[in-house]
Amino acid sequence: MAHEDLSDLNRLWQNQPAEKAPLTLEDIRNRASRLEKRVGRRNLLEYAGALFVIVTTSVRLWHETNLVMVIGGALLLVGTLYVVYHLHRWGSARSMPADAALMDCLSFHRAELVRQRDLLRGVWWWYLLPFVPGSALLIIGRAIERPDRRLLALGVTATFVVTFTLVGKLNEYGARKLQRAIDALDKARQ
Amino acid sequence: MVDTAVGQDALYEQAASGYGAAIERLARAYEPDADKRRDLVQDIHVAIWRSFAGFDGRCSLRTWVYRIAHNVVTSEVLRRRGKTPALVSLDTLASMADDHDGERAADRHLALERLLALVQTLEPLDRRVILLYLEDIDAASIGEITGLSAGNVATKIHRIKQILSRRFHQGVSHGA
Repeated sequence: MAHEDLSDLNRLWQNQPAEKAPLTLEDIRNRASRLEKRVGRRNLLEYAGALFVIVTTSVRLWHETNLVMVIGGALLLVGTLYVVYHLHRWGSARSMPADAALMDCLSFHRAELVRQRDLLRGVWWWYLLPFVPGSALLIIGRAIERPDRRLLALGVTATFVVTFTLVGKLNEYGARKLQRAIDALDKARQ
Repeated sequence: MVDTAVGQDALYEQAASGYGAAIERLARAYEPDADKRRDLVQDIHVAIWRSFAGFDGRCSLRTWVYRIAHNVVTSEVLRRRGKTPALVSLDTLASMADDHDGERAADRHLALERLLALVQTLEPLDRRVILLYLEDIDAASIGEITGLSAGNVATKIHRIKQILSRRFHQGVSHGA
């Protein structure tokens, strides 16, 4: 088949039968409105979840007599809220940015990959570290309260460190994979 | 910028009538499932309609529409990262043996199925180029839409022609 005949293939591609009736403006407006409502519901659910955590933890802290445990619990609460906020702000799938048509596909693709890479690369700071002070104080507080269970506290600490390291390393690995994809895009632009 | 909602609607209607079918074909190249494909098509249309509120004419309507459409699809591909089968580049595809060697793609339906399967195996970067090529978009516009350099587009189109030529060597019958 000579290259000139490839136009037949283009015709074949372009003449595929349509699957659906064309969308009307009314359809589009309805769809856009549904998407906005869905985002609103998701946000409401996240706020309700955060409120639930605040209320239940505060009630528990109110009845706690060990000061170290109180401070630890409060710090853990703050850490959790920060992680939820960060995920909400940076982690959720974005709707199309307003300038999407001004960005060529490579730039858009790269920007999305960079956003995801930075999220994974920074996991030590925004996901793991916020839990450390609160968790550490809770473990210490419990160990002070129950000196007979210090071995258990040591075990919990070890599990904590191993789990955090594993999560951090896995995310670093994911970030490196994304960086390779970013490098490939940069090469394609040259 | 578009001054009124009427302008936004008018631009959208122009885009939908001119490129609606191409958007469907684009979705078909990425989403085999009919229900998810319908959602994807609708998402693209909504993104295009919304975008026209900020249309300032700095690029052609066609470039604008194709960029939005491909960028929506890119978002979707990134969202389901890891759930898609392994994809290949044009270079890899060119070096792979054709499973259908010896089989003639004379039947229109069979040829289309094979073409679609071929497109769906490509990495997003190369898939964008082949899809735009199949839509008869010229090389300069492909560069403008995708962001690839002119040299890169030329190389990729050359490779695409080689692959298509080898895999659809007998031509395509226009009979039903």
